[in-house]
Amino acid sequence: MNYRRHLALFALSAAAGLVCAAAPAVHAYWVKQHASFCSAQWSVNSWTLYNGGFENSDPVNQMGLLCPVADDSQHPKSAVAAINVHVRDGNATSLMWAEACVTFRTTPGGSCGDADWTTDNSFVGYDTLTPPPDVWADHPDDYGYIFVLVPVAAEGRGSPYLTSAVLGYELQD
Amino acid sequence: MQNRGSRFVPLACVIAGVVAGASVSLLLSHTGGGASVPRAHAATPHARAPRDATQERAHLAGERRRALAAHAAEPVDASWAPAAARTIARDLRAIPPAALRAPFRVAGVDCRTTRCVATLEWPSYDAARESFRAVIQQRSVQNRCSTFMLLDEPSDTTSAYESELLFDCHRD
Repeated sequence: MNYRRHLALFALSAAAGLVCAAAPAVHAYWVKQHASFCSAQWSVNSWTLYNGGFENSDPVNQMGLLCPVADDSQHPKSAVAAINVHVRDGNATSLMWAEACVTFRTTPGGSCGDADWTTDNSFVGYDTLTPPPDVWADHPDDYGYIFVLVPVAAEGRGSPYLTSAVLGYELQD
Repeated sequence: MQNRGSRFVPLACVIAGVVAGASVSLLLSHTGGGASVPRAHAATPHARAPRDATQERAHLAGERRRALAAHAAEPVDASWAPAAARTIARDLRAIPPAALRAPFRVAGVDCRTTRCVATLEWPSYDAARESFRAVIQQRSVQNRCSTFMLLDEPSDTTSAYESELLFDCHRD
């Protein structure tokens, strides 16, 4: 009787050990990239790539930044569930916005998702923009990027910061 | 003494069982045995091979056709459509000239309930091809839409070219 009980205990414990050891470890995937990965879509008179990010120091022209999105078979952009774009808005009279986009790879054209904006025109400071990534799931074969509109340099017009900048961005599965 | 020893037997069985089970599991995972899928292919839902160029063009043309049909099927919501059309036209005209290789004209914006189609006129197909990105990216707080634009190549790429910019909008 005791022998049977001990055998059952052994079998149950072995099963528990098997299940626990075989359970896949849950690791949320994320990737962070510095803004130096980005490039200015059009020429502005003055931009600076500094330690804190990619800033627009032009007091006249807005800057459009294109930030590339890594896309491979293990972590395709179509699996991205959240985008965080870290920005510093130094302009107290205009907004910054970010959106997920694709350029079609076989024919001219493209598509962009809805954008996310800084809180309001008067907002000045550090913020995280979270545009929806849906367009990447809708177009898994095309080239993905994040577009960020960076306002003109404030030059002390009511702002403690002289410029606005993109610091970097992170993607989460 | 004998009783105390027999109390440890169940505990020894549990420990031995856990160790044995874990060992079998680790052995299977290292030798590739069992039914587990290699980690490198864990993302299989997204890891399919990309479409070839012909399939991709057909897919995009189908996407545009469906979007245009959905737009045409929507009734015009008078409480939203006129204001949305004005906002979109204003936003498109506000694109910084530096962002465009060539200027374009907004020939018209037709909004319905949640969708709009803007017709844009370019001096040539090449001008459209070089500037479409600024157009699809243009936004304002009032314009909470996703955009789509596909530029079919005409037989003559130097004469005036018309294209449609499709909007699919969120309404609060």
